[in-house]
Amino acid sequence: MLTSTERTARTRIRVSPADTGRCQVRSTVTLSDPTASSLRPVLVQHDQAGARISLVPEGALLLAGDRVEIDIAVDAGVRLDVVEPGGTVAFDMRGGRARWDVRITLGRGAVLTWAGEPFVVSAGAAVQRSTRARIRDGAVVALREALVLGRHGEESGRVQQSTEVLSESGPVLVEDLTIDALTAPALLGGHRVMSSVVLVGTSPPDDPPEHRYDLDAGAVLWRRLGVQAHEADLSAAWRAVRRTTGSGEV
Amino acid sequence: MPHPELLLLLLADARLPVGGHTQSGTLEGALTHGLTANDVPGYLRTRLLSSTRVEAGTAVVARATVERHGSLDQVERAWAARTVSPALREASRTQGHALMRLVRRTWPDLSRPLDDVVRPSRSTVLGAVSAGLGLGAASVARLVAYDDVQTVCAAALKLLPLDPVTVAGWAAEALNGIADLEAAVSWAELPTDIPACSAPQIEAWAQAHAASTRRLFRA
Repeated sequence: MLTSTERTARTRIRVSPADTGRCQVRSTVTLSDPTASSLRPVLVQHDQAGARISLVPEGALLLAGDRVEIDIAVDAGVRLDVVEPGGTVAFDMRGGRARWDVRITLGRGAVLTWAGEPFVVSAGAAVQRSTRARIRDGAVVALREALVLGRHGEESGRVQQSTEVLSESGPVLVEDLTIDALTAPALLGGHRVMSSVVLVGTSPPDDPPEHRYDLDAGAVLWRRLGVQAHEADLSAAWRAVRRTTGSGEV
Repeated sequence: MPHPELLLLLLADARLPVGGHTQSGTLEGALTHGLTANDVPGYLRTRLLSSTRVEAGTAVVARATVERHGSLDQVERAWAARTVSPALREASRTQGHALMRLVRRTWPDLSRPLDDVVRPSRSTVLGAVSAGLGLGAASVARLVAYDDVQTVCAAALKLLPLDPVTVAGWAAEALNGIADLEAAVSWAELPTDIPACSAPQIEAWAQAHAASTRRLFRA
């Protein structure tokens, strides 16, 4: 639970088909108070089939009391590629905490790719992260993430991470992970970096076979643990996913 | 039906022909990748806080689902969405098959709720059968957790040069962790109530182990 001192920054993005030659992109950023730091959606590219948006941080993220909400909807038949200009650091919160909640809703045949950059949980940080994706039939979602526990030479902060991907026919991936300096050695085998790429809604590529978990519902998760970031590298999997989803350059 | 306590003893007995001896609770994979004998008690605790909660929660919810005549297919899907490692899903379904064979011969009526589920996991079968046998939710949770502890301990004795009394001591120490797990999962009723606690390192070891050709245990 957060205290009443929390600062909420909600970023909403909706991409819809339009017959004006370009799809429609609507976005709003709502702040609970003027001091709240936020993620500003910057439209990088935009055509009839879809859009590319960069989520640019405004102000210092992520501090005690911050609550970041990202709400993304992609309507039937259009596409959104989300990129981030850099990683995010959750700083020492000295007893406070922060939240980072992502909600994704995809219509039939919609495509969302999100090339997440590293999310660093500094010693003393306490963050609750959630990602909830609801996808209709024929929609495709591809998400890349890297969780880094502690800055260089530092022990891990506390992060509670929950992921839920639901398709029309039921749950595809449901996962909760609570990591702190005590549980990290056992749950992650002494590793400090956990990278993942998940692809749902399309027939997955055959390659790469390494670090790969084929899920029951036809989706694929690639996940790799490393002591250093390069040991948890999943760029081959992300390239394969981008080819499969027909993305351009990222 | 015999006393539930006797049925619980029967189901917890490693001599039951349900393939328990083929499983190490991923301990073999863990030892291959650097875990040592000293780490085994901690490994037991980690499992009771993560993957075993998913299994026990699934069994508890399968039991509740049979009691209210619901669909076990939803339970099985919820379990599968929480079990990312195909090697662990396969190991559980193979064991589920062996348990089904026993149930069909011993208590034919009790296998009926499972008829619509294609290759149910061990936890789904165990939970569904427990409903028919009159076992309570807490008993089912303890059964799954106790079985996991003893699976790892029995495998440790085959894989490491250990004194059996030492290993029995580890199992006894783990009993408090089983009580915590039971408190955390036995209230669950619906598929969405099933815990989703993952253990990425155990899942990675399970995948690596499944691809290995030199092994004593299937999983």
